[in-house]
Amino acid sequence: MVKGCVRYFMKKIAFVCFGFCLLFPLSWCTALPLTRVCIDPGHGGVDTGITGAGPLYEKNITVQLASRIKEQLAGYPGFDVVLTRFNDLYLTEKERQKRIVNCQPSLVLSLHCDAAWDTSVSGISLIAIQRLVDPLLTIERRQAQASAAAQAAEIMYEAMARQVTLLPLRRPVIGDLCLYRSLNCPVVMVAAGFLTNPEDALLLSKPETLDEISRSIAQALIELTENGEASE
Amino acid sequence: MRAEPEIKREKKPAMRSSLVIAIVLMILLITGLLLYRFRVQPVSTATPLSDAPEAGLSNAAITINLYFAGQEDLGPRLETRKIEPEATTIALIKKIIAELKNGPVSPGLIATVPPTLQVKSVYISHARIFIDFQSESLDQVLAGPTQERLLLQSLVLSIIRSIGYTYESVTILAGGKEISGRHLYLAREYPLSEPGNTGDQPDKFGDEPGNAGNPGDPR
Repeated sequence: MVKGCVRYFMKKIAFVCFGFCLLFPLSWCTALPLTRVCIDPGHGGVDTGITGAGPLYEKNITVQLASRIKEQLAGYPGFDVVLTRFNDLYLTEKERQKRIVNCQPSLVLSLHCDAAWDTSVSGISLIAIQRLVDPLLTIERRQAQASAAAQAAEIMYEAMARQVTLLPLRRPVIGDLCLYRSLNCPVVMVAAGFLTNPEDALLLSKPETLDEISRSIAQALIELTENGEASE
Repeated sequence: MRAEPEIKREKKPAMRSSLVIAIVLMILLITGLLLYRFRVQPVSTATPLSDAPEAGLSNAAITINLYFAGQEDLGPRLETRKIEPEATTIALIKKIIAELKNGPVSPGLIATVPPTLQVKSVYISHARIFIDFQSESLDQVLAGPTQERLLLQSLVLSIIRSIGYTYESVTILAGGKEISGRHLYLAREYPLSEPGNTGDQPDKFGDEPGNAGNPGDPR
């Protein structure tokens, strides 16, 4: 009787171990299909971000873009857009991380503006966020995350390239961002023009430009979702 | 009718042994996975840890590789420059940063390291190069992902391609502290990796420093 029980439990343990061995590596892979997007408008409150001529504050541009994107996607079925801030609110790094983690997004869209020491540099930049250094992260895991972010950035680039006419669009690059290191979902940053460039700054002060950029990002997110659904 | 119990008796040890083998295999598999995940990264042993004279330097003028950015695609672009040799690796690193601050000479290239950026100290520890910038001067520079990426790209590529692949990473400090807070684009450490194709399509994936190789790879 006792032997039978022991054998029964040993079998159960063996099954659990086997399942764990199968699922543990699989859980490392990042899936792309989207259902919830967390839009993180950069800066806010006392943290103004980059200041352009005007003065034009990065914190205002990012939140305006985020609100517009949310509006654009409001009627899209199966799409859930969550913003980390709606107004001129200062968020600490931890508060921002907490807000992102709490909404359990499939993709994080980080909105920023750009700057360059050379003021002639202009355009919209797309950055796929990848952890470049993390000793506790395996190379495979790092590559899986990077490829998910890179794939998202590439799809977004293709979609945005068809919509954006006012500003040049730069091909996606890979960057590391300490803020998003703890997240397990792909993160793509869109830097909507260089505030250090006078022409970009002037364009970003106009609502038409913000409308165009937000429309292109919304369309890109829709295409990303469709792509994700198609791949399922 | 009598044969049945005999068969059952024979099956018992076989089942037990197969179960034991299965458990041992599971344990081995889990141990292997854990060991693989938390494996120790290889550390380069051929690294001078002190501010000692570099063996490769001669008394004649030396060539350093400076990486600026292409005006169109912002990809890394090489410009070589002859300088007087420096006695130590640290002095050479400081000289490279100073030359980067002077900006490019070749047409079509843009400056990536502003002249206002002040280096507080440079030191090497455990195969890692630490560049400590003055906090206020770095604050003025750290604005926007592209500016920070270009700064990092220029510093890392120019240093490693001028002094050789003997170091594992370059760590940027601000006033002696690791960079954190609201200037978040800049990774605190940047692995030394071959940027791949620096001439044809530098803005594509795989051409960025840190993307082509694995961090910690000794070169």
